[in-house]
This record gives sequence, C-alpha cells and structure tokens, in this order.
Amino acid sequence: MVNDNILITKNVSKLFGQLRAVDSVDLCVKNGEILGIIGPNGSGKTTLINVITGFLRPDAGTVWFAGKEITGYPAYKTARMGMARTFQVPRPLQGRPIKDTVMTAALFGSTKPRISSVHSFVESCLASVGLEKKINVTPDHLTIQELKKLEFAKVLATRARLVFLDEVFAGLRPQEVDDMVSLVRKIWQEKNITFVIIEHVMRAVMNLAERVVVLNAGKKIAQGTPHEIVNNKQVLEVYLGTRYVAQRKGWGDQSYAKGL
Amino acid sequence: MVENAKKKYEHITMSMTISLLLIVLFVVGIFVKGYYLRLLTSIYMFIVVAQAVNLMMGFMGYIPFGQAAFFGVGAYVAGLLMNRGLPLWLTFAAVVMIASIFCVVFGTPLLRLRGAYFAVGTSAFSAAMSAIALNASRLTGGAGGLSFPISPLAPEVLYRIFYYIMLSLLVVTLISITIISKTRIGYAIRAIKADEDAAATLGINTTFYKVLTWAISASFTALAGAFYGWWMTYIHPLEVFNINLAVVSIVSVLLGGSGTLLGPIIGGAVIQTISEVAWARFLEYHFLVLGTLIILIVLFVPQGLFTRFWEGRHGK
Repeated sequence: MVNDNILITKNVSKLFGQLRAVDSVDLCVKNGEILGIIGPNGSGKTTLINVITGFLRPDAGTVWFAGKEITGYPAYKTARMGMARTFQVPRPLQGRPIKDTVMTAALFGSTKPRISSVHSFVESCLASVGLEKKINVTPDHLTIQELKKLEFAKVLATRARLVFLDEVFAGLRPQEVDDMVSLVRKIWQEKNITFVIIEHVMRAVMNLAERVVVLNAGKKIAQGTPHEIVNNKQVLEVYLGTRYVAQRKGWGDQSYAKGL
Repeated sequence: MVENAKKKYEHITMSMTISLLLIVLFVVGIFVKGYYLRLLTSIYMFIVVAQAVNLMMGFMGYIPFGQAAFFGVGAYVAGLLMNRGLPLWLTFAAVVMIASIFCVVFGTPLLRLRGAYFAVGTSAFSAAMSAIALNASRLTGGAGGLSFPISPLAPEVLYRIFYYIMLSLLVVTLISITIISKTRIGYAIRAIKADEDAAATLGINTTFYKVLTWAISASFTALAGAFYGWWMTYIHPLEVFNINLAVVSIVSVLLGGSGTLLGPIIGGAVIQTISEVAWARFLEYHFLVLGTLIILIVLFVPQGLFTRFWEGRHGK
C-alpha cells in the first residue's frame, strides 16, 4: 500500500448544509502517475481537493498520504508533508517581483532551507517553467498563461511529491493548452512528481492522464483509461444527456477526445 | 540586471537617508531644550507605535485598532513593577513578556477574524482592557491613576535622558522591522497579506506567524507605553488605553505609506506636528483638523506620501 499508492481516500464525504458536495469518494493515486479528475460543473472536484489538502475538514472518511493518515490535517501541514496545489485563479504575491512568490514557496513548503541558499533554486524553478526572463517582473505584467506557469513554478518550489493542478488549462487558447500540456509532461518526466489534474479541457486530460476518474454530483461514477472513459455510457449521459447518447452510439471515441 | 542595480541603489539611498536622519536627531538632542525636546520625544514615541502598527497592517494586512491595549498594558506593568522596586532591565523584560503573553492568549482567537472584523474585535479588546484597568482598583489604582517612582535627577537632565531613550527605542524598532522583513517571518507575513489561504498551501503556519508578528508589534508598543509612563511619572487608564492612539498611528501609517520603513516616520512626524499645532491654536477644533486630514489622505494620496513621492520618482 505504501509503495504503490501515494494517496488513498476512503469514503470521503463533505456536506455543505444538505448538499453532499463530495459523497463517499474512494480514490487511489498511484505513485508517479498522472491522474485526471473530470466532471461537470459543481460535481465536487475542487471540494474533493480542498478536503484532501486540508482546506476543508471532511465530514466522513479517511485520507492517507504516503502511508500516513492525514484526515483533517490543516493545509499548512499537508503542504509540509509534500502536497501542493494550484488555484483556479492564480494567486501570486501582488506588487512584488514574481521571484518573491516562488521564494516564499521555496522557504516554506516541504523543507526549510536558509534564505541565502534558495536563490539559485528559485531561479531554476522559474526557468523550468520558462519564466526566467521575467524574474523581476511584478505579476500584473504577466499574461494569463504566464500567471498559470507562475503557479506551476510555485508548486515546484515547495518540492512537493504530489501536485494537484486545479484547472490550469482553463481560459487558455488551444495553442497555449498544448504548450502547457508539454510543460506538464516535461516536468513529470524530469522530476519525481505525481500529478492529479482536475480539468474541463478534455484535450489536455486525454493527452496527459493515464487514468481518469469521473465525478458527478459528488459521487465517483467511473474510472479507467481515457479511452474507456470517453466510451463509458454513464459518462456520456452525464455530459451530453441521455437522449443524445441513445441517438449516437459510440460517438465519443472519434471527436469527443479531440474536439472539446 | 539593470533593475537589480537600480533597486540596490534605491535601497542604499533609503538606508542612508534614515541613518543620516537618525545621526542628526542624536546631535539635535544635545541642543534642543524645553518644549521642543518634549515634542520630539513624543514624536519618537508615536513613530514607534506607528511602526508597530505598520508591521501589522502594512506588512501582514491586519489593522490593529486596539493597539492602545498594549500601550496601556506596558505602562501599567512598568509602573506596578517599578513601584515594587524591580530593577529596570527586569521591568522592561517583563513588559515585553507580558505583552507577548497577552498576544498569545487574546491574539490567537482574535486573529481568526479577518479584515474589518479584526479591527472591530481588537478595539473591543482594547476597551475591555481599559475597563479592567479602571475597575481593578486594588491592583491598578483604578480611576485614581498610577504614579511612578520619582527620579532624583533634575528635570533638565531627565528629559534629555528620555529623549535618548525614546530615540534608541525608535532605532531598535526600525532595525528590528528591517531585519524581520528580510527573514522567513517577512516572507510569511507578506504571503499572508497577499492571500492567507494561498499562504497556507505553501506550508506557512499562518496562525503561528500572525500571533508571532502581533507579539513583536505588541512588545514595541508596550515598551513605548512603559517608557511613556516612566517619563510622565503618572498614568491614567483613560489616557494610556485611549483608542485615539491606535487611530492616530493608523492614520500616520496611511499618510506616510503602509508597508514601507520611511512611511510611518514621515506620517508620524507630520501628524504629530499638525496635531500639536492644532492643539495649541484651536483646541476645540483639534479633532476636526485630524478628521479632515484623514478624508484628504483617502481622497488624494491613498497610497501614502512616501509611496507617492519617493517611489514615484525612483520608478517602480
């Protein structure tokens, strides 16, 4: 269990009043894989991540990280253990050079280095996402894509082993999506990081993920390879409606993966 | 590279300006007398409190409306201990310790509040402390106030000593804040100011750093209060726990430019000078002048004088 799965959740639930935002979700993330989590809006993807990373306390269930139970740990503790996440809306340190944002991540995160020793590490993190020329620029001078790359540099700087990418591809042009996809793949190949990508942009998920988990209304409704998922009847029903699926059998395989 | 060099240059000019200013003030202490000596001493004291407030609001983004609580606690602790004949160094060590303990006990729950709620919560805390000092008369002397032991030194000499004590406290405060802003604490509290939740995802124990920062801020405020009581030799609850102290400090920080080192110095000096003139010339309109000033700052220099004119000139 310890070696194979870096993260396990069992029966994790989160309630907002009467709404079961996350409903008894079992999840296994294998060490070193790229797992995709997809689902319609409001299906509980981000809430699930919030519960795992300690932003919210689960109402039920258990979470293990690297063989240790971490249910209900606060966000700073999970970060120190080696989990990191990006935010849907990038959250850099406004009004200061982006170097400082990455520096803060490097100073805290999962290790505690001395300030004088992290400068070159910070530069290498920014270089590996291609922002080395913008090191002294403030975030308000960056494009959306660059801000997303900055979020990426930030999680690298925390030296996390498990990284949740929360809609890093949203709001990007197709060309930029391809850019980011190859960036994620490059970093995944270079470093020993496990990725969980939460995504609407199917083009990215299908390209990157080895396995995909589908959530709907807080429940896990399917999991499998991307190919299996786009042909899964239940998944297609959730996304496109039952009538549509009844009319066009086997549609997903050809255009769904490429088009959306 | 060019930007780095420019930044370094800016940094050096700023440290040089401050060092030069402090040297001048040390020399000035030899020549100034009477009213102006006391005025300068009180300006230093207000700048210390303004810097403490600046650490909270300028660096961490929490506006401490109840900062007067620590000024009062510092003054009362110093008075009570000095009356019992404790050595000075022990008295002031106790002042710092008790202010920090107050921060851990009351700051831990208060710092769960954010934004305006924190401001209101701390001002309630300050009012509560004032009420305690007023009513716990067996300990504090209540509404009768508290006298400090009178020094045998001549007032002439004594006031000059207090001038240097306050100036030294100011120097220590400035150096400490400069150091803090460059260490891990500085990075943590700037991240908290930018986005507290995002800070937590980087592994920053936000509660710990918030309480620690408030304890540092409170210690300087309490020391200023302690020296004030020692200087005045008499304190009254409604005076040392006056919420006005917090308000004036916040205005000073805003006027000068929050989150900068020079800002609160300029702001504090300007506000205290204006306040003094207003006090002397038209006593009954004193608050009107201050109130008008606040409105003018918010309208015309919301980023503060220092940020507007210094950083504006040196480029961003």
